[in-house]
Order: sequence, then structure tokens, then C-alpha cells
Amino acid sequence: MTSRHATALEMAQAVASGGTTATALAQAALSAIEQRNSELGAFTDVVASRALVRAGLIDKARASGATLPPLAGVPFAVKNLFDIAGLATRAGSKINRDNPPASADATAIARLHAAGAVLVGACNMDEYAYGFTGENAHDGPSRNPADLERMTGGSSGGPAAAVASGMVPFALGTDTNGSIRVPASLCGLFGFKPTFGRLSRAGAFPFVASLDTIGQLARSVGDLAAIYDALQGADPRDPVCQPPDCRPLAASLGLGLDSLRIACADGHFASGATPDVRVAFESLTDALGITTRVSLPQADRARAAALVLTAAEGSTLHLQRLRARAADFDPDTRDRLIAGAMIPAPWVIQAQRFRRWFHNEVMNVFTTCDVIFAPAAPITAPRLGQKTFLFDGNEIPVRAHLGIYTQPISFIGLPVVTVPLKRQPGELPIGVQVIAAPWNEAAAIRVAREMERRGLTAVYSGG
Amino acid sequence: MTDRAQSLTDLSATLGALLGLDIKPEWQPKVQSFLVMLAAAADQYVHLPLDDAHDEAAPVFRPGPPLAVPTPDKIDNAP
Repeated sequence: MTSRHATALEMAQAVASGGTTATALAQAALSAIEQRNSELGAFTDVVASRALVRAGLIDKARASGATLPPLAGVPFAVKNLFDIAGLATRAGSKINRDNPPASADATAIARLHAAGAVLVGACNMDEYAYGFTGENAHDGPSRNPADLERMTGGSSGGPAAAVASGMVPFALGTDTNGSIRVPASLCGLFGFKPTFGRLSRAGAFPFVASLDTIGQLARSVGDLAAIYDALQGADPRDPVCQPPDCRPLAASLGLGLDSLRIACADGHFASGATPDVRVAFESLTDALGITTRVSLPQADRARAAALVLTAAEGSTLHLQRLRARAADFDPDTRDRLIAGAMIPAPWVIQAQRFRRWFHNEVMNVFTTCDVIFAPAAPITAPRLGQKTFLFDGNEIPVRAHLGIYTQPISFIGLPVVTVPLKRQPGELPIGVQVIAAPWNEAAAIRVAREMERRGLTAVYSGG
Repeated sequence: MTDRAQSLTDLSATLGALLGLDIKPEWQPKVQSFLVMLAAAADQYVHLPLDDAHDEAAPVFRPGPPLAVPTPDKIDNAP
């Protein structure tokens, strides 16, 4: 058997070797959901029959001597904005529940199925992915397994709660402004947001088309690579998904740090965080001997422009729903979307121009380094219901600003691995962003793997 | 309330009507506070000397051939 906090690859190995069965793993995941979901608020939909049928087929294949795919028998979950055949794709909303059921799985789910993974259900999220808290007026909040009175972070909060609690070893999320990286940091997990356009978004309900990326939350760097490799490849269903290559990331895991130039982000990323976040970050960079500092020019402005573009594009997407069913939105989402619909055009056009300028400037920075470290969130997990936090002495809203360090990075589509830092007993999780140049996911994964190998990381494994 | 905030208060009702939105009075304070927040964000970059050489509809890293653009006929007949 495998432990509740086993990694995906450990589970796949156990199935392949006969140490357990796919059916046993699916039943264990379903049982954990049954026992703990009422307190964690991680799942909104469970597909038990589908999971057990799928797991049974994998066990039959093994019994027949067939070669099993790399993730055979591994249970997983998805944020509830991914299409699951037969279910309405709710995207955290009340409104979407009236939509007809999806006729097919999202591309990402189909590819994970092809790799042998077993879908067990769909997870809670901020409504329409517009928030960093993991709170949802319709489904209740997802709760942080490290402290049930605290936020998971969002918008992929349910997936983070599901993985951190050991219900499943990995889950798919999406990241527009930080929606994988923030919950990974607050819940103590590895998170992966690949380059914009790397992975297919087909069948994932959109939020901001020019920023949306899919990715995963998991318990090890090896898992991140294996899942990514299963997801890779162009997809005609998502015209933005046109990666320049499709090299297996797992092959990069053992390469270490040789020849990689690593730096820390200064300026915007070096101010405002609470002392515990700063100390954890500096301890990490000391341990790795990183002395180079780089500035991402005007990162604060990049963050501001991302905020405006998000509001404008998101509001455009939802305008018809705002006209027809405004009262059915989560009020926190609705009021921001209404404001976004009123944005003057120059704010948007200049934000897009500034994105191009910022992109060019950051590409210049990447001529001097390969990987950049930055904090993932300015604070540890806030309490549920907490509306504001202190940043540089100013009280600012949690829902809009937990992504203050993640937004400038996704604004120009960079790939990021979020790594959970080693903590003392009783301390809340803190994560760091390992950022690479476009399409250079391998550099970020190599650094994350080396941090893991050196014992600088710790995935949440408590209650 | 600052002059700008007052202006936004006045504008939000007009814009809401133009957009076909039925904004309940009790929603207005938060809508306006978000507008003020967005205005403060836009203030940070809207004045920068960026011209159309920087125009970028995004996505920014898309390789390969350009995306298909709907023909005027398709746009005219869009639902």
C-alpha cells in the first residue's frame, strides 16, 4: 500500500509493481474525500463511478501483462472550470450550473487519462477564477489543511486543499495572475505555471484570454515533471497552444545547477512582505549562495497594468452574464467585474503597450541570468474572512492583492515553479517563485529539483 | 471623497446604463471603490511615452503562424 501523502510517481510505481491496485488507490481517494471534504471544502463534484471503472480497466491491463502508462492508477482532481464529460462546468459559479453538461473532457484531462491517471472529482475555486482567497459565496470556502481557519489562497484553492490534505497526490489548476502560485505558497505545495501557450487550455473555462495558463499542484518536483510531460503538445482546439518544442521535462531533473545563472529579484519583490516571508526567502538564498540581484524594471507598473487588463478582459467575457444575471454572481466577483466593464479604453491600450515594453526589458534581464527567485506571496495564509492586510504600512485588500508578487510575472507569460520552503513545526507554509525565460521550463524545474534534493523544501504533510 | 472619486461615482451610473447593466444602489459603493482602485493602477502607466510600436494584442509569446482572423462576413453574422 502507499501512504496518504505518497507522491504520484510513488503511487504509479506501486501499481506497476503490484504493491497496490488502481482500484485501491481510487477507493482510498474517494474515502478520504468522503471523510474530510465537509471540513475542507475542497471538492464540489465527485465522479466515483467513473473513477472506479477507469481504475478497474487499469488493473485489468496490468493483470493481462500490458505495459502501463507513466501515471497508471494515480488519482487526481481538477479545478471545477475544466470540462468533465457529463457535468456542467461550473467555474465556481451558480450561473454556469444551468449550462448543459460538457460533451467531452478538457484536453488536459484527456491527456492525463491517456497517461493512466484516474479522475476522482472537481474542486472548489473563487468564482470565475477572479480572486486570490479560495472563498466562494456559493460553495463556501476551501480551507487550508495547515490551519482550517485560514485561507487556501486562490483561485485554485480547492485543488490545493485536496493535494495538501492527501486526498489526491496532484490536481490541475489554472493560473492567470497567480492562481496556482498563491495557493501553492499558502498550502505548502509545489505548483507549476508553464509558459503562456505551452499547455492546451481547450475545455477550460476562460478568465483572461491573454493571461490564462493551466498547470498543476503536486507533492514533488518529479511529479510536476511527469504531469507536465503527460500534458505537453500542441492542440488545434487551443490556437494559443503552439509550443516551439516538446522535450520531456523529466530528463532535466538530474542535471543539477551546473551552468545555471541564478539571481534574486530586487525592487518590487524585495519590499512589503512580512518579516517571516522575508526571513524565509533570505534563508533560502543564503543556503543556495545566491548573491546576484536583478531588477525587473517597473515591476510595480507591470502589476498595475495586469490588474487593469484582467478587469477589462474578464469583464468583457462576462458582460452578457452581468446584464442578464448580475444578482446570481458572487457579490465580490460581480462588483469587480462591473467596475472592469467601465474601464476607459486608454487604460487598456496603454496596458497592452506597456506589456510589450516590460517583456522586452525582462528579456534583457534574462541575458544575464537563467533563473530568478522571488517570493510567491507577501504573507502567510490569512484568516478566512480577512479582508485586508498590511503591505509596506498600507492596508490593502486581500482578494485583489495576494498576487502582488505573482502578477508581474504572468503578465508576460513566464514559466514559474513555486517551491514550498522548509518550515519549523507550527509555522505556516511559505513558497518561493522560481522563474525562467519563456519556454525554458527545464531551468526552473532543475533548480526546484536541486532545492528538493538539498532538503530546502517541505511539502505540507500534516493532518 | 476626492474629485476623481466623485466623478467616478457620477460616471458609473451613466456607464452602467450604456452597458445595459442593472446596478443595484447597494452595489455602487463597492463598484466605485474598485473603479478608484483601477484608476490608481492606470495612473501608474497610462502617461508613459509608449506608442503603437508597442501595440500588442497578446498573447505575447505565441510562435508559429498568426491566428486566423474572422472575415468581415463572419463578424457581421456573429450571433
